[in-house]
Amino acid sequence: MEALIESVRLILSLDENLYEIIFLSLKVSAIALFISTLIGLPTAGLLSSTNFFGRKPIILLFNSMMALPPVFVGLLLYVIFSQSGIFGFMKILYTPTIMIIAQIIIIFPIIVSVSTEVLDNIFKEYEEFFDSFEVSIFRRVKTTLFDARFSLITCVLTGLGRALSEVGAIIIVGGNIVHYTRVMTTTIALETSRGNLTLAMALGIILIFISIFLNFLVLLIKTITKNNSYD
Amino acid sequence: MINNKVLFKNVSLKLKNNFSLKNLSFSFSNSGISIIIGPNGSGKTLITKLIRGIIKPDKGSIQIKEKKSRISYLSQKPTFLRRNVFNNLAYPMLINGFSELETNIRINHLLNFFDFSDKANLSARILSGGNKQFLSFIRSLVLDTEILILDEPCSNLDLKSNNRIENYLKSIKKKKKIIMVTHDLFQAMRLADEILIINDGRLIEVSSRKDVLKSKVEFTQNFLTRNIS
Repeated sequence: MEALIESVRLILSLDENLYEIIFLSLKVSAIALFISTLIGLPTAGLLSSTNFFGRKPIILLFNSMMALPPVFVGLLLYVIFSQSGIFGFMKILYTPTIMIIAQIIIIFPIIVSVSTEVLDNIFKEYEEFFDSFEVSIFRRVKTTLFDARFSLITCVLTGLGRALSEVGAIIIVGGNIVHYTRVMTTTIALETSRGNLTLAMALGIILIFISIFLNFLVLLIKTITKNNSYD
Repeated sequence: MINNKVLFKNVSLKLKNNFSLKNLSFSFSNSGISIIIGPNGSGKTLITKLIRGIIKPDKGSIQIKEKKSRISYLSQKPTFLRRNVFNNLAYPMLINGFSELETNIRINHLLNFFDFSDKANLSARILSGGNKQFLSFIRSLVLDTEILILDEPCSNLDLKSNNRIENYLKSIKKKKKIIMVTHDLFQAMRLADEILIINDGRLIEVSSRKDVLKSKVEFTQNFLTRNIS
């Protein structure tokens, strides 16, 4: 209980170190989410709108990658980007850049898989209409993505939630370096092991608030856009 | 060089449910209204989808004089985008390269002509079954194509809307080729310049509206007796 009160006091004191960690977490996750969404949604659109050979194995692969252990992703990136690795020359190990890459690898399959499922339903419904007006693949993807935009917000926020809560991969590739690669989850892990529950608890509370805020945001967007969705 | 606008040459197609179209060879007259009739599951819709190119035949060919983009298709089960009525009508024009100005003029004209303007801003997906069907008919007209393929355009419609569509089709039939599927034999008799009777994936007979009633083909006689009397 004492730790809880202390952690609330720490949050309210606007502690610079605390907010630096929060800001870096949000920055890394937001960039990873932006890139994953930018590539993931068109990929999901293509997977839904086309019926090429190998489509099903690719969807199966993305579905399987949703359960990819983050620790393994971290290990893999570590091997590749360490000094002796094939991309060692890039010198990005223990930087926020590689943390973003790790998060992209983790959330990209989630965004693709969840979005493909949403888009599949809409595309099945539209398919004959598209065929009858000879709509090009590019337009099919564009139209389906546009019409599914409100459902896709939930898919994207699922990815953000996953990115913010990620710890296994970024602790390996980021190294949890103070003032540089230390984010909320890695700090919670470190400070808990050190017995410094105040900081860990404060960050935990912030994470929960972010999660509640994201859910509230989804609800708000859905409510506001309900009348414009034409569904 | 094809003399007929739509020509089927030895067309065969087998579906997964084992239904098949068997070696269909025929052509539609160049203008006017051709109506395809036949029992449920005889292959009428399949023929319309083959003409539109939504499905391809296993064997044979379908030769069409017009470019594919000059054919409009009204499906038996209309699908609408998650957009309002206006934007659902505008979509086919915009993807076919019409400017926004041309699109606005054409859509507003059609909406006014068919007394549908009051629904322009409503979601197309919340319309009643009849209004959806009517909207689907309007959508088949937006591109002003030379060939219109209409798969049961009047199902779910009230008498007033039904008459409206029939009168409209009569007014444009000299300028366009209309290929239509209907279950309503009375409608077929009112509209058709040419009637094609299909059963079990085979063409039974092609006849004029007047001659079909005097047909000596046993299936035609039975079919008409069952459905008209």
